[in-house]
Amino acid sequence: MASRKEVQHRQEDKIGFLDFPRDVVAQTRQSAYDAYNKLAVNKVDIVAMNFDGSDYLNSAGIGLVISLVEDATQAGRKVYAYGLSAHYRKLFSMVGLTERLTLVANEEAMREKLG
Amino acid sequence: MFRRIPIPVIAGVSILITVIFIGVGAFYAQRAINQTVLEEFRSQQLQLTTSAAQQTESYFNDLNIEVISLAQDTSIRTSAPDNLTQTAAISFIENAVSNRPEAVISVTRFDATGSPRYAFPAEYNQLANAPADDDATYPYNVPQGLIDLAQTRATASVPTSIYRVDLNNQPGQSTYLLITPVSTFAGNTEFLVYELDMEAILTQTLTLALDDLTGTENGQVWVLDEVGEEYRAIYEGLPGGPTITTIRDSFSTEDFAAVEAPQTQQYTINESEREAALVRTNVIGRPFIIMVSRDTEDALSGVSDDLRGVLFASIAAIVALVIFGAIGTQRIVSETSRRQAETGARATARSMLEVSRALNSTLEIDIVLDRILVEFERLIPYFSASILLLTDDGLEVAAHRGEDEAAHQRVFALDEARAAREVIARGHPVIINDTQNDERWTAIPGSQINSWMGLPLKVFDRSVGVLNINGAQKAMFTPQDVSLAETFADQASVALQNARLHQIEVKRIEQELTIARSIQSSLQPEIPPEFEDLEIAFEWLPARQVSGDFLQIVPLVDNQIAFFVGDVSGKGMPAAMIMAVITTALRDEVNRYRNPGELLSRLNTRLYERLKQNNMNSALLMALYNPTNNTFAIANAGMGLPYLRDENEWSDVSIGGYPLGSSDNSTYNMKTMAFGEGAYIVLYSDGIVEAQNSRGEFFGFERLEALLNELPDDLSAREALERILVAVREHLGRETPQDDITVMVIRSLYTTPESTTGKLPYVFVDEEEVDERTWQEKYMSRKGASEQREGFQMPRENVEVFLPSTLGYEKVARDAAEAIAREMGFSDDRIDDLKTAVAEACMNAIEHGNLEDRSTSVTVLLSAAADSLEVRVEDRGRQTIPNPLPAPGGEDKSRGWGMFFIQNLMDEVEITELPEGGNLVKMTIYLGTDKQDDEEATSEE
Repeated sequence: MASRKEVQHRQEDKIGFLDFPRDVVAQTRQSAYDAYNKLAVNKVDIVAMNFDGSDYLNSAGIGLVISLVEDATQAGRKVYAYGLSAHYRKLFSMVGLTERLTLVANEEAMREKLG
Repeated sequence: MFRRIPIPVIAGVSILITVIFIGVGAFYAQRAINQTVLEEFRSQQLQLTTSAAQQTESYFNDLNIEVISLAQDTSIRTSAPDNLTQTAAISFIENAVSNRPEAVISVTRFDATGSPRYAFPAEYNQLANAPADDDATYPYNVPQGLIDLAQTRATASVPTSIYRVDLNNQPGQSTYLLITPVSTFAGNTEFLVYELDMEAILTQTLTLALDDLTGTENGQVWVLDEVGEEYRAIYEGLPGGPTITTIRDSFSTEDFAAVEAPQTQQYTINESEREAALVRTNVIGRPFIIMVSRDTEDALSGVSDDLRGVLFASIAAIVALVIFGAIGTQRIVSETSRRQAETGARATARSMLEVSRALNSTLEIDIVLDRILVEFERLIPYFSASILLLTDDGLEVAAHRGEDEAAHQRVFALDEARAAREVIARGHPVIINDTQNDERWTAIPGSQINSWMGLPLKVFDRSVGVLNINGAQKAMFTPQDVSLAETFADQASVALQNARLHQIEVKRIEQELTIARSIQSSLQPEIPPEFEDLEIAFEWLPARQVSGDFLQIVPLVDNQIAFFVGDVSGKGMPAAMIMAVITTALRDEVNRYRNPGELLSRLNTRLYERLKQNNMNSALLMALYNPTNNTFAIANAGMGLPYLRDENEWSDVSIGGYPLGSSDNSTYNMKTMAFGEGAYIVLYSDGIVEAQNSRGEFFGFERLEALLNELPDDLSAREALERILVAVREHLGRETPQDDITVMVIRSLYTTPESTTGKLPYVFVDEEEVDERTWQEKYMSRKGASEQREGFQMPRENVEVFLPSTLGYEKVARDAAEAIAREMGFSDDRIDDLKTAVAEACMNAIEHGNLEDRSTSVTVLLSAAADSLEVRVEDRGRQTIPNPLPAPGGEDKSRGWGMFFIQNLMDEVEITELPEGGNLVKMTIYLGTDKQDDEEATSEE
């Protein structure tokens, strides 16, 4: 079965989830914005970026994450990211993303942090 | 008893006897006169037909000179496309053909593809320059076969002047095409084409013959070719009229061949007994027969009527016969004299026809000069003769016949040869009846020359030389001789001019070919280069002065060696020029494309339009030797399959593709073959297998394969090559090769170490079984005992990856880098860094360097050394990557992170712009180093 290429969204109360596909690249941008906008319209307070299914993020994909985080933080939303390998956590750190979002190991760890 | 017979009885008997005598006499007289009339009738026809043939031949020979002159004119030869030049050329043509208004319909200049460039007259020129989609298309095309023929001959050394007569047999649509190449530079052949009104020409010439048949109401004239087809017929009063359209049934190819000399024959057409005179003529190398025919009854009927009148008149006027007998005798004497004069004229006309044919049967100038003198002697005997041609130094003796005192003098100053100078100045014949007492003649003591005749040899009314005829007796040449000699000199001038133009053209083409050969040879390797692991031998044998075959050997900076063998379609100058273009292109591209299949695709894209314009293509085979793993990577665009010997068996390498230039989107596969110890590979052009012996048998693949299978194991490359060439030469026998021959034999000198177990350099270990050895230890293990010595430094091992310029393929390079890095023993962290850096560099090259142009590719060279891995990513430079790079995180924080990652994840990074265009990103990571290991920054909060 062909792997999913679009970003999907789901919502639990004030938490909006963005489930990223296997490859997070330039072509992912449009579906990511669409998913994010729907969450924004529903006025979520928290954006949870789920990278459990992702194993390739290139610079365009990381740039996409930066754009989403910029918008979310300007709107006063808190951003969590989980499911990233050590290498991508290092890249997030290198580009300054770790200062604007909270890296957690998984969804459960995020819920614990949210209390 | 004597009985007296009455006088009336005697008179009656006398009259009766007389009547009987006259009757019998008239009968025999009519037979004799009929025979005489018929002979006269035939002779007259033969004379007129001969005259018509001579006029036709003379007409075409004159026209021939004009056409050649036209083709040689610089206005016509120019290739400049501007309208001003075309206008000048058309104006020139108009002036040139004004002498032949009844014959020339149009003159058109075509290029090598048969497309008209411009034409005369104006309406043709408009059509020639009309847009391609215009409904009014140009009506006359040069047939492709004719173009091929003309192009082929244009590049041969002999013959170099191209004439082709193409006659259309359809009545009323007869056309005459004469083609001569006016330019053959750089593969572009252009043609000058006359369209002549054949019907008008033959009508004009042959009507003269018919008009001369006075008193005949049913004469016909035919012009026939060698298979009996009619080209022109004029019928007047033929029995059956329009139902007779051909005499093919009465005249066969064998009949044609039998007409060597002018002759008469009897035919029956529509129950009419006819006498025909047949004379062979020669129109620019092509034989025709002119045939004039009349009804014999027509000729005899008048004679019969006259004889009957004589019979009745004689009964009433016996005495008158006696009285006028003397007058009749006088008439017979007069008639005999007239016939003798006509016989002489006939002989002269026949002789001139034979002279014309002999002089125009060759274009070799020495032979033409010699024949002029030989043929003249047959016409007018002489003591000695020579041909003097004008040069800068005076008059040069170009040919000489007979023995006289001046035989060994080669050049005369004009002042020295006063009589000849007078001939040239006046442009008319000059006769000296007594050379010993004429101040114009410089007598040589003891000379046997007592009379002299000088005839001008002219080209376009300009004297170019003198036909010098010497007589042993005084006043040897009569006015009739001068008239005949003048006619001969005109014929000789035409033949001489044809031969001189031919000689000029031959010299010009020979000079061009010599230069081309020199240039072409300089592009080929002279001696095989020497390499550590390979022994190379080759031969490049052009069938002509220049060749369409070529071979190239190009050592590359990464120690690989590229071998090329190619064969451009066609031969001679055009093929040689295209070969030079291809050689230049492949030497340029081989430094950018290391994948042979990709290189051939690139060359096809680069050369397609040029090859198509010239209606050519080129076969080309590339074999790339990689010394790091002893392999040949081969791609083939239309050459014969190479033969490879591996493990003592010969086999062909089955890989092929269309020749370059056949299709604008050809792609080529690549096949990689091991080329280890004892291996040979044979690359060749089709001149080998298509070498044809006198029995028409090709050397063929079977003979070549049988030969290869019988080669001993230890032959050097040169010896193997010689065996092949000797076999081909033996097969050819006395035949010369019809095509260029190129062969290259490459032999491996590599010796396999005893401990080597596999041919491929990389032996990847299973992930479950961790190999604790160092990278260098693994290398030494693979290479065997010879490297197991102290201080040994392992060489670089290279892996090259070619990526299409489409985003997503960067993952292929990333995975390759990971595989090599893992084999080398890099840590997982460093491998992740490497993967990201390689992917980002490739994305940059695809997206920015090549602008995602799918016709280009990205080359990734992964070069593993003992302690480091170097990655080179090279694009084709559609856009330059800025250096230094702008810092990321500006106004648009989402962009510009790729190079940031590369520079921060790799140990060394260098970005350069290649001199031939393209960007090179060179990255290095070292074993045992961790560029960035900031666990705190990456740990979860």
